[in-house]
Amino acid sequence: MTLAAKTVAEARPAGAEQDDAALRQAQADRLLTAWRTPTGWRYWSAVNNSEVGAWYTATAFLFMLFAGVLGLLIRAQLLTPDSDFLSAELYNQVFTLHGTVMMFLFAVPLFEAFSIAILPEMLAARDLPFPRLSAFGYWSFVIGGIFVCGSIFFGQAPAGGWFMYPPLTTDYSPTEYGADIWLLGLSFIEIASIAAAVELIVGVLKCRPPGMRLNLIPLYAWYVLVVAGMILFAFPPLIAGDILLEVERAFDWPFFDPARGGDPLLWQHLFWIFGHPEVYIIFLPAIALAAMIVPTAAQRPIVGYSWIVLAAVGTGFLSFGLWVHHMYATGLPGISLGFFSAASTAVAIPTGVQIFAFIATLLAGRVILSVPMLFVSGALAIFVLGGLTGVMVALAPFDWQAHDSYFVVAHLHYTLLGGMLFPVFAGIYYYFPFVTGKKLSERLGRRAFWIMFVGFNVTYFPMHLAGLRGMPRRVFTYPGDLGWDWLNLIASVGAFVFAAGILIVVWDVLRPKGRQPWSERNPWNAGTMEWLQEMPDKPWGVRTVPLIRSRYPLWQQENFVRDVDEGRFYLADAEELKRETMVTSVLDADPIQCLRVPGPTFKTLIAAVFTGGAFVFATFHWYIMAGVSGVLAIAMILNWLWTGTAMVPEKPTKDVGLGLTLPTYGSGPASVGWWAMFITMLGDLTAFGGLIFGYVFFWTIHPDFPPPPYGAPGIGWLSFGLAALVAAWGLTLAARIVNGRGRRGAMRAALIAAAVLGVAGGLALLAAPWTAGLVPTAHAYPAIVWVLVVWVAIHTAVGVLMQLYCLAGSLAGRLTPDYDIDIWNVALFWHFLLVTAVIAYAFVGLFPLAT
Amino acid sequence: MRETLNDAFDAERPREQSVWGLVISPTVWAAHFLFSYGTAAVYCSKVGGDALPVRIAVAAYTGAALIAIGLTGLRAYRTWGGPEARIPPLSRHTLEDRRRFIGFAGLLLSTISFIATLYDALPALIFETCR
Amino acid sequence: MTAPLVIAAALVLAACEGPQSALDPAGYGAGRVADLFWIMAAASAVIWLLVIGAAVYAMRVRPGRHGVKATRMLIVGGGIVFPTVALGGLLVYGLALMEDLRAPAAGGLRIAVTGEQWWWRVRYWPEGADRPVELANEIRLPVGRRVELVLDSVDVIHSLWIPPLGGKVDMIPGRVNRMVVEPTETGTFRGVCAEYCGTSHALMAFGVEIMEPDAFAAWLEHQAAPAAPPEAAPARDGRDAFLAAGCGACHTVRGTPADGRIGPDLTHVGSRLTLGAGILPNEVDAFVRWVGATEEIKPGVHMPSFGALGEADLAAIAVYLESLQ
Repeated sequence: MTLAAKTVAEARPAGAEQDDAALRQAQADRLLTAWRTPTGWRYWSAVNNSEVGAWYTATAFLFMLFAGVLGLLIRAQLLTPDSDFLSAELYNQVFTLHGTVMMFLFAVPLFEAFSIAILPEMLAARDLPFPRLSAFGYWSFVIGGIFVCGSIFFGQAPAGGWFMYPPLTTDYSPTEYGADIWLLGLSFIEIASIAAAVELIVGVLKCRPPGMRLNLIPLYAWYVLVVAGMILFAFPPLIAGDILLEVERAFDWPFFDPARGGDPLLWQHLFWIFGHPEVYIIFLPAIALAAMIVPTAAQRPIVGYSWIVLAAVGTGFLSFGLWVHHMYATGLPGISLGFFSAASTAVAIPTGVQIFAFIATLLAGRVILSVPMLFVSGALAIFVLGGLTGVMVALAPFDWQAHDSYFVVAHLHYTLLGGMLFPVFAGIYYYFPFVTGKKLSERLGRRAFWIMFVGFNVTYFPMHLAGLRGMPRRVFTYPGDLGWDWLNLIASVGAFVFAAGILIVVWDVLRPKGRQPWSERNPWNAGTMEWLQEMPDKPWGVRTVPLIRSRYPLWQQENFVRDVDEGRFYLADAEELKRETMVTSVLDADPIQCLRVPGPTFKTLIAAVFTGGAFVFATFHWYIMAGVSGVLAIAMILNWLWTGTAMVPEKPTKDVGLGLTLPTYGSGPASVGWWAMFITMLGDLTAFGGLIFGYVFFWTIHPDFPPPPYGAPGIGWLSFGLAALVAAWGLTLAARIVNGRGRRGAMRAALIAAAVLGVAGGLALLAAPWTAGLVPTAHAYPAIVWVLVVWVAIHTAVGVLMQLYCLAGSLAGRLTPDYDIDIWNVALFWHFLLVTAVIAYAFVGLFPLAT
Repeated sequence: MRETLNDAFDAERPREQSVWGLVISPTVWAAHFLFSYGTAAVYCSKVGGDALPVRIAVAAYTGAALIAIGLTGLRAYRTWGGPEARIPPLSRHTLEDRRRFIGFAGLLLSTISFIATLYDALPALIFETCR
Repeated sequence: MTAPLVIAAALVLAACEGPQSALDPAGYGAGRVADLFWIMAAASAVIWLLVIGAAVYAMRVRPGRHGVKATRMLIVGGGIVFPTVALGGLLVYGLALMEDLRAPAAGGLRIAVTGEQWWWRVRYWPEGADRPVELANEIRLPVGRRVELVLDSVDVIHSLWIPPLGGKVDMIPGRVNRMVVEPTETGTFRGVCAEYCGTSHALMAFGVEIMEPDAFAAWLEHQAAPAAPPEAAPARDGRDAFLAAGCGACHTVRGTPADGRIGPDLTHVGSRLTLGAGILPNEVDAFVRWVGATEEIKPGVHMPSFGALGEADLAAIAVYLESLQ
């Protein structure tokens, strides 16, 4: 066993050495200094998870209220037949934006926001491993969200439905930006979502308290892990699709234009490969909140912990096999549709398992029906109904009637609001004291719940019938003689009732609580560690990183709270006044490193502004300004990296308490940054996979491939390009190895040569379709070839920039043989770039030779 | 990876266990699904008509997948130790229990992957053409 | 005891009726699916009551600690065993039904429908015909026979849906999709576009008439014939105004010089169930409104409004068009 693991196995809470109250106070003061929240206008430079999490949550809620108002506008328009409350054009923007904002600016960001706020404390970590990355993600979210939501005030909101099918959305008009706002605004936000996912995966796997083995982690953490993994593999195909659609709109490359070899179905595949996992990405984290609330309400540990792990992981995997069930009506072969019908039916099994585990826990415990538990119960009632209609639409014959009708609108709202919104409101009531130190009102909460529950069902239940009576979705009006009037009238009234319930909660949250006393500590008598928090909380996250021996330490470990408060575990002090947290191993949380995380800065906000600028200017085709903004963003990010990451520590090891000494620096797989790079590159490779899917898709729809008169791009240039990139990769790897052996000169030479070869390789790859005369606007085939080649070229440029960064670091003395995180991460990037280049070469160069 | 190098020094810890082991069965399901759908999609668009070659291919994939999932599940079952090996909740912090947890979770995931693979094979039984 | 049930059943039936209702089937496909729906709905109601009942029981009726072992059985039995069996059976049934519903038509009559923003171009290919019979915004079918519809689109994705007959199939530019329908009852119904296709997606519908085979054959023969020349004066004036206004550049009226292919064929427009793609009744007043204020009635429509023609001309054209039976 490693020395660290052995030390932990034998460790006990600190005894006499922590008995001195003056010592404990001095330790606490140093911790408070290190973790101090900035004040005044500098408050906005905070990067700690408590601040970023709170801002993120509030912002996501504001977007929800905005989208909710749009929903009320929809119901106001549909209150009566042949209404002219909204024009057709405006209504189409309203329903598109309602769906878009709810799905992209509320549902997924809220999960990230909540997790940023509560996960570190749940895992007794002082912060997430990359606080500045979360802050960057938040600012990107705000900028992108305001951009997207603001469009409707100019009559420029997207109007293609939230899934924006071409060819309806490829008609480019120089004065209509709706689709471009959707594509570019959301891509910007999606990248921030992937950053959050990377952070959460690393946080759950690598930043746990010693002793918290994988079977002891809170169920919320399991769900976070699964969902973050799903985001990693689901969002990139959408990004690939967004790239293709925006390039078609802006540059007329015909990916979805059948007249020039394209196919609208490609978008549907790429969108729904994202879209179906997306709804599980939305559902699972909210059920995770239920998984934390139910045991507390039942005052006993969860029954069926392993079953819930099965449910989360199983649902996560299976959800990737459902996507064509959104395309049952497109005329694909029955046998193909059948596979998706089968998987869509199968996914109900793990989904149901977790419901039964909750009910089992309720049966085995003595339930306190608090407001959070009330919302969870309502969620269960609504979600189970939605799941049952989901089984119905999983069968293609029934879906052929229900698809694109109000039956589906009913189904999706039952599953999304039952599976996500109601649990989230449970989470608001449950975690409000955690975030603010004060409780919300029991009375208002109960009232709000019943009004919301009744209002919700009155709104959406009639829609099942309206849909089966033939009412299609996305209609700005309907005739009065088909028997839909009373159904729509009831639904619209219900919507306003539902909104009233939500307003009660909004009031409860916003009402002044100055006179209300602080909540008692651990107000729900829960068992997990986020409830160690004092009321009001201290900024340090946790007073000391505890030793874990159970799933519910506050219930099951003796004197746990007192020992934590008295600093009797790890990292009870901040002697160097630095922000520190523990990095541990994946399976058993054996300590590996004492990680120093950065503190407040405005650099992340500035970087987000410039990055956002690049996307926003590009939307309006102001490409020069977009380019300038992009360059400034890169410069800002480089500055942030240079001044805040991979810092050489002032001492190589640190005594973290209880006889344990840990290194303060780790590179390669021992470094959290390496993991972040690895996980990010998996996402990047998946996006590239989406583009390759496009290439293969075009092969399937064209009898002759490459379609005449086109041929393969020059194999000569492609081979030279690949060879140069292989050499560049090899030299980068060599640079890392020789640097590790102390030969700095050789490392620098290798990096220079690698950079030159990288540039040569990228240019050669671009030369291949150029010299072959492939014009991307002429046909989908040359267009997809160019996209693949440009993707590799851009990644090569990034890789060369990284090599030069390492070169600079070596020359400046911050990248040394002992402190070499950066070159490890760059080498890792180049591993993935190599794989990408080889795959591109295989498809673009070799595949046409075979067909 | 350095992580597993640390693990290798642990006399108590069985060498083969890692968190990735949990996802073997679902990954086999995913591969089975992709191969089945991919075969059907490519064959039906390139050739079309009678789908017998697709059905045979899916049968082969299904056989291979069920065997792989079955073996993985069996190994997971043995790691778990069976229902008699239950230990009381408060002792959950030992290495032994973590090991058994990975086994049990792996067994559950293998079970659901097995069921899902069987479901996914049904279309190949029922559909005869590419219509 | 039976009286409330009968009343409830009557209410349910009444609530489900309608010319566009999938729960009021007039076709083989819709009938099979409606039966499946009622079974699934009943089963869902029972399952929902059991599951939520268990939760309510746990929280309200018998709060208090039940045995953990028994509750684990609930997870295994309710979460794995029962769903696997029930869903497996349902899946097999659903897959088999897919094949059944898509089984091809016997041949003979073929109908091609092309979706355009926001109307339907319909062409009948009677058996052995070398030229199609073209009409618009209406489909009539003989009862008791499975017929194939060939679907495509010229601009964006549309979807053809006649709920009382069966499920929908998308109309995708660049692809040709096939749909089979098998009407089992005569009557008048309504179909719609079921894929959001732009500004006036909500106003893209069509009339459906299911007829006895003889009546259908007669109707089709009549549709194939060119328009009879108008006899009475108002209609004659209307025809002249129609041609003078240049309507023939976009519309075809067989038997006159008007042979435009951009808009719907108007040869027998007066005999259709509705106007404007299912949104107006087939009356003279409706013709006046449609031709005079097209863009107000259907936002974004590609046909310009012809209000500038003046009341007299509009009235005459309306009479003419209505006379094209």
